[in-house]
Amino acid sequence: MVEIVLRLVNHSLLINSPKATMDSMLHLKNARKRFTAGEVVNALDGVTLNIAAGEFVGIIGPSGCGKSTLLYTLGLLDSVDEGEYSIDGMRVDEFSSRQRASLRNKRFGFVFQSFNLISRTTSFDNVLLPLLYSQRHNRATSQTEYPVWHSQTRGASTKVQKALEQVGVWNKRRNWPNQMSGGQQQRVAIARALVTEPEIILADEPTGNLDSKTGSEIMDLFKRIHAKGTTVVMVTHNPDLLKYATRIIEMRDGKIVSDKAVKQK
Amino acid sequence: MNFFENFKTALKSLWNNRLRSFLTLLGIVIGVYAVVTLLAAAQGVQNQIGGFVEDFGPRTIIVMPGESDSSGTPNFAAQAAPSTLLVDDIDYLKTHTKLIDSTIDYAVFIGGLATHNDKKLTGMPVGITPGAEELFSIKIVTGRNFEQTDLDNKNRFIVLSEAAADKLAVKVGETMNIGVDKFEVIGLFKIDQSLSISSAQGEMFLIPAPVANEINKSPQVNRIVVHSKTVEDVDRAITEVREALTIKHGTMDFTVMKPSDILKTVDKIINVLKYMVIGITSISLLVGGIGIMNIMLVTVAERTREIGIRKAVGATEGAILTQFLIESVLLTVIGALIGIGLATFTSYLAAKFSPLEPAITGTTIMMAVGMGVVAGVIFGLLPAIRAARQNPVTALKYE
Repeated sequence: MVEIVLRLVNHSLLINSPKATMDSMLHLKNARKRFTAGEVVNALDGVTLNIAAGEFVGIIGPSGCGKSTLLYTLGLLDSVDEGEYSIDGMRVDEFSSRQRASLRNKRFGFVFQSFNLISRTTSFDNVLLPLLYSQRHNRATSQTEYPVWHSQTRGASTKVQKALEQVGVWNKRRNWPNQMSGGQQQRVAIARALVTEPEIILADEPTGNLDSKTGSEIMDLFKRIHAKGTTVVMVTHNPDLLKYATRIIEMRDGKIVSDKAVKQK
Repeated sequence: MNFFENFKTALKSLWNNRLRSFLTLLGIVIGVYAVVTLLAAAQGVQNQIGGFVEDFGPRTIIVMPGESDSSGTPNFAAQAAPSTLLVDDIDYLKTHTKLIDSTIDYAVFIGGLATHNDKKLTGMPVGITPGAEELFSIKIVTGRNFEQTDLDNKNRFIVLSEAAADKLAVKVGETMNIGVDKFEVIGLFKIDQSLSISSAQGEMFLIPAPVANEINKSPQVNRIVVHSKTVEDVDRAITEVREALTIKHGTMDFTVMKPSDILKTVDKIINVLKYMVIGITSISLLVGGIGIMNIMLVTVAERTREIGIRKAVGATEGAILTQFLIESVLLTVIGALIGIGLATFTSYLAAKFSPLEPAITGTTIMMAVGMGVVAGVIFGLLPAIRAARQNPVTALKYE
């Protein structure tokens, strides 16, 4: 009982804490994850990794090396079979699914290769979505003492506008995903990742479905986001994109085979 | 995600698949339509009979031929057999009871075709004493009703319903026939309740009771109407009448009841009917519900990726569950509302073009909406749980 109470207290402290300034914000220790798809695949085979606030980490490796699994594990979408995962010293691998959902909402923003916008839904509403869920999390952690009946309250609209303007697609706010180019869709997706002002952006091949010109525009956007102090972890198989990273991790068969800091040009 | 947002999302999803949603709704619409329409009809009959019974005073006691079963329900089959009640039962009651009024009325059913010139009509000629018209809920509109002297003199007078008079083209003062017997028309009446003991078209003929006995060549009577002296004594008066007649007849070959007992009997029958209606229509709701579950499973599968996205941006399992449950409940509640609307329309038409007066009560509407909500929750739960349990990583990769 006491343990649960402590965990809840820690949990609310954790998700409401100001941007972490510790050296190691994300800490993965000896993580293992196995899939059985015809044969047993070791997606994570004893991975130990520390990521500090403010880094721009590029994860590279051949397909099936476990880089996406690593990214989803870091973002609490996936969990490890063995090993420990801590965020700011909190053992999040022991969190409930509800607590994990809350952490995903508050601290992470996801950007995917295939954009993953909800179809037949305007850009505005797509970007609004994380805020709708954060109202619920806020209520759950008693940040607000009054019920929030409508998303328009508490400046949700303003936040959406700010996020869409930041990525330059405010003019597309009334468009459905299928009425926009790939680049525009990815900008909306980035706005959705930014709208809750998360500390960490996790990007899975964000330029994989884009032509190289649009791709570099998107990468410039990530660069600007990183410059404002947001931690970025990006999975890619395109070595050209690594010029934006401050640290490059190379994976093979579920293991980290190289991990080096680089100077940004 | 608050309720309003969930509601908006659900509406949008249903609207995006309009045809599919509509077809899915039909099952629930038909189920609810059936249950509301049939319950309204049953309720209407109950109200009409209730209204008829209320026309009787609270002191009225009716004696009918034929024994009743142990629960007090009269044996309706006995009504077709020769009556076990006789005219001298009335005199006997006058002298052998203390709790009832000395004025005792009675009715005698007779047969015979009503004719006037070349017009013929099969109606329901009944011989009555003036007070017994209480049995038929009639109201004189032209001419006059019988008086005691008409009975004493066995006057061959007849009063008939306006509907019957119209068909026979007969007026007050003219002469008409019941079988071979001639009667002078002295009054016309209107029937207040379409469900009184009259025939469905309201074609009814009343003659003085002693004349009816004369025509029947029999002292049998079909109804005896007595009144207890006070309202409080009704039940004791019933017992008194029953005991007196049992002594006279040597057996209880008759039924003594107050009109509210009739109502109780009718209520009992109609309540059984209502449960049957609910039972039978529940089957169609079940079928409709399975349709809902099927479509919700399809919807969840189609929107797997969306579920993954929602989870990635922070939706809890509870939020996803709620979202899909609201969608299925919305579907069934809309179905229920359409069903209620159609049933209301049908009831309106039935009231206008048939003698039925269907009544849709608040309880019926609440029950129909409740059935919708319950069906939505029951049949939406499995798909919603399936949606909530999706692994976000798998869901995001779903094609």
